[in-house]
Amino acid sequence: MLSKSLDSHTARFLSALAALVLFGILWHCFVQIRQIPPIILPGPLRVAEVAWQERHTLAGGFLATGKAALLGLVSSVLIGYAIAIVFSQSRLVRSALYPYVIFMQTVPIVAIAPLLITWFGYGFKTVVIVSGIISLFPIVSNVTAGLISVDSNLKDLFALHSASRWQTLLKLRIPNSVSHLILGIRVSTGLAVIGAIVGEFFVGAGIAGYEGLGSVMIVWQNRARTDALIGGILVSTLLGIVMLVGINGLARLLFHRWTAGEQFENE
Amino acid sequence: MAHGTAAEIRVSNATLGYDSAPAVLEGLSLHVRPGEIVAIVGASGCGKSTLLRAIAGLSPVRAGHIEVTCDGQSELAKSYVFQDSNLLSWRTAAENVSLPLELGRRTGLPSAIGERQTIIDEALASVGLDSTARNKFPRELSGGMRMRVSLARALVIDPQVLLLDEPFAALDDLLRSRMNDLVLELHQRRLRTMLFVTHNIAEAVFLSHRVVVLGASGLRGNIANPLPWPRTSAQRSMSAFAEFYGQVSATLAEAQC
Repeated sequence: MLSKSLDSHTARFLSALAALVLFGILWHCFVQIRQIPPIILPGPLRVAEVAWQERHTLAGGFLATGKAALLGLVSSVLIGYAIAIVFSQSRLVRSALYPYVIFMQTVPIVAIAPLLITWFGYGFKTVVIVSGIISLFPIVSNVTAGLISVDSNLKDLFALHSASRWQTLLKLRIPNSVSHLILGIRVSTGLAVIGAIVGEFFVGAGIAGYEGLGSVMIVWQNRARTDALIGGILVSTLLGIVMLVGINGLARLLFHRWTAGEQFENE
Repeated sequence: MAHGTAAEIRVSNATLGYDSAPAVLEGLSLHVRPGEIVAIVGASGCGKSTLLRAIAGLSPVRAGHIEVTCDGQSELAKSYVFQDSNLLSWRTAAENVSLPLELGRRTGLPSAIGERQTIIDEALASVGLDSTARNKFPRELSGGMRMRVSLARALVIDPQVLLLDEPFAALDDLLRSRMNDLVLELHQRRLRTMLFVTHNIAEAVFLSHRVVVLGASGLRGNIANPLPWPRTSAQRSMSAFAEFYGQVSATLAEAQC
């Protein structure tokens, strides 16, 4: 069973790696054959070389953006869960306030980012807030669904044993929402990274000594350093993947009772 | 488990139904004596589950009244076993059984963890589950074992009345037969009033003191079961069993919803 699972993991990893190598070869051939100027699209070897030269900047950016995205995600989970609990307690409150949570999802973050800079300044705090705002909605919508979509037979069971509202929330609704929370966090993780990078585009580099991936990428774009820029994009992608893998691992560890179920086995 | 006495149920001229929808049952009267096992049969939509839920206090009584009493007391421990085992997937078998002890403001139950564990273990043992099952999650248990956990959860508060809503409908014949034996064993060990809904006439005949048939206009039959006690599997092949089975089937056929 274990070896079969390992084999399947190895096969998946190798096939993904093969696809990446093939993409690199095609990219290289495309650039060579069409003789595309490096300022428009440098080849993969050139990108790798420059990324190695800029490794300290990229590693620093990886950590700074990662920290901002993680803090944004944690804030959105805490605030989102609290909002969802309030929503789950009253249909009236839900219908009154839910449209404004949807507003958080639909308002273009680029439109409010300048306002956030006015309020919170050019720095780390603004990046975290942008990341938190962007990743908030999936937490609120998923957890609210988990808190209110409780099996009616289970509600009857709690009613039969005269459970108080507090007991029903603590022993039924919150545990029922955990698998929804995990799904929400998975969506929000990617959004938190996007939010942090978008925030950094606005915050810029060098001010207050903050150098996240988005900040340095803007600088490279201004200096027409396409090779370093593409290196930055690839490291941003890597950050998203690392965060997702980390969050999945953490979810399995913390919420073993929920994730050990069959619905999570075939991922 | 503590031993209390069994409850009696009096349904007097009751009209049952949900919200503004037409009443499901009208003017129903029924008396279930302490310690009696009563089977409720009837076609789908006749109000079997509605009646059970109303007795449990889970659905409203529009007119008339329902009394569940024991020695003049109306604050009773009632348990309800659902068609689906209805377990909390994030709790182990023992934690599921413990749930009713954690809810409401129960009096007379031990608060010490050790004593609670003893009660939970006793409830699990009473339905034939050993210590290997107690720490397993519902997804790790078979359908039959899940239903046993569900029964243990119902029994852990030592209810004076046990309401079962098609509890074994999802099980295969062999498991259903084993669970029927278990219900009889539990009743023999501790006399408590039981009311159960079933679509299976053989089950109704085998388990009950009386079979109540519900139809379009409410109660269409309230037939005493002539089979002797204690019940044994051998009785299933007796002519008395077949005769009573036929009588219930005929009443059921006339009682269209």
